[in-house]
Amino acid sequence: MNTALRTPRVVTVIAVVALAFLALPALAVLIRTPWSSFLHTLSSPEVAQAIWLSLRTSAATVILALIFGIPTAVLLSRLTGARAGWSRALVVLPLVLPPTVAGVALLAAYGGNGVLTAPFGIQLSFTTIAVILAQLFVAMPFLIITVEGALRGHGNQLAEAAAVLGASPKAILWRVTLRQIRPAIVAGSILCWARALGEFGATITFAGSFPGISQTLPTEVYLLLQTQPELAYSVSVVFILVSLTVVIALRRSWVGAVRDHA
Amino acid sequence: MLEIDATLQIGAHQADVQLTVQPGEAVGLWGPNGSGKTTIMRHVSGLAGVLDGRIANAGQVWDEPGSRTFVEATGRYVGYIFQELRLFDWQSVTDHLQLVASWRQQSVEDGVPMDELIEAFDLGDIASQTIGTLSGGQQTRVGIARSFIAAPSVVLLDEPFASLDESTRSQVANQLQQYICRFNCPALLVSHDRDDHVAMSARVVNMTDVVSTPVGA
Repeated sequence: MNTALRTPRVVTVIAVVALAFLALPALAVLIRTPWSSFLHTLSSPEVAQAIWLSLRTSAATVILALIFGIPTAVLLSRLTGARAGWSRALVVLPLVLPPTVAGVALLAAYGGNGVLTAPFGIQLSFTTIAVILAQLFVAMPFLIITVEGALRGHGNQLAEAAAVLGASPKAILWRVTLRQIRPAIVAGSILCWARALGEFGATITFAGSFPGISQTLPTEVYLLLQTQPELAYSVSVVFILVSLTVVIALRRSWVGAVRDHA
Repeated sequence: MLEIDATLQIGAHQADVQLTVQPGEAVGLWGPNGSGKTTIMRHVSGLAGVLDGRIANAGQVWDEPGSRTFVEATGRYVGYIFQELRLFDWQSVTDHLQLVASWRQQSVEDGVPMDELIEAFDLGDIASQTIGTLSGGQQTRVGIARSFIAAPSVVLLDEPFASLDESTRSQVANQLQQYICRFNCPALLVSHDRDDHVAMSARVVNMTDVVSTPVGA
């Protein structure tokens, strides 16, 4: 938006300081990274293993989040009153919970002595499944909230039109409602994937850090920092690039969402 | 014959509505904003339910709380041209018409064939274009065309000519009249422009003659 309003100088100065504070750490990583051995580092067996595990688990998380998150968003968008408030609080809880506490909570529910798993003698903690559950727990809310917001924003106008035109409730959901919010589904999936990929606290608490089983890329960065800091910088560069890509992709799907809405 | 004799929720208050429209007849509703014109259309289409009384068309009861009868919007086959059109912006004109045809299924045989609709509403040149990119007037014609893919039981026109220029309006109005006659269905027209009612040869009724405050309210 263009405006002829003048910004007070003090606002500009403070904002520039804040922007520098936000940008500097990423720049510092680029400066500290040993570029000569960059590719060599990334192809080292442990790092490659961690990358592969992170990609697999985060992809599984997004798929599960889509399967379970979209129906949840549809339901939430149709609830009213106290039930809506409570359900939304449940969804938001994992977002504000410290990730390590989320890990402890997951252990309590699905661990070796878990409320849900102990009676069946199942042990989910410290497995690759635990990695996925930890990611799903902290990342699915992003998808649910994004999709629910879009559903509420669009309202019922097109769904009503479809009903008058003879569409069944199922057809309305698939052909109209979900199609209408496609940009939000894409944006929500990207947010969810980014959050899952970076998951550390809940993962290390609930799934541990076993190479090939639960040692994901963020855990790898943390462990490398203690032994080989240059390697940690190289892996961090990968994360910074991925995050930048996510931000750009989100901008695009947001622009798309705005255009669809107009 | 469309018969409305029911208590509706109009905005914050309840009102009794009495209105009868003969098959093939167009009735124009005339009244200020908030007098319940669009509300009546929503009840006829099945997007809202009456509080009491009944709505019936061609001898079939659509809505009668007393006998727990309610035919859902999907089952009423109303041709509803919404004021906001409510098209699916992401589809092409042909895809949209085909999707609606697939929803109407067998009753499409009684409707206007797709080719004829495209011809009648001058959609040939824009048939493959995305609806979201069309002008307001073009979108209006798509919105009207899709209502005749299956034989409509009632036609509801909510400010249908707002984005059409003078010459297109009379052309589209003629076409609408032809179809209303062909399907011999009752039609309701809402417009703030007297000329629209004239163009549709509608019998204009004042909302004050249709709506009354319920006894005891």
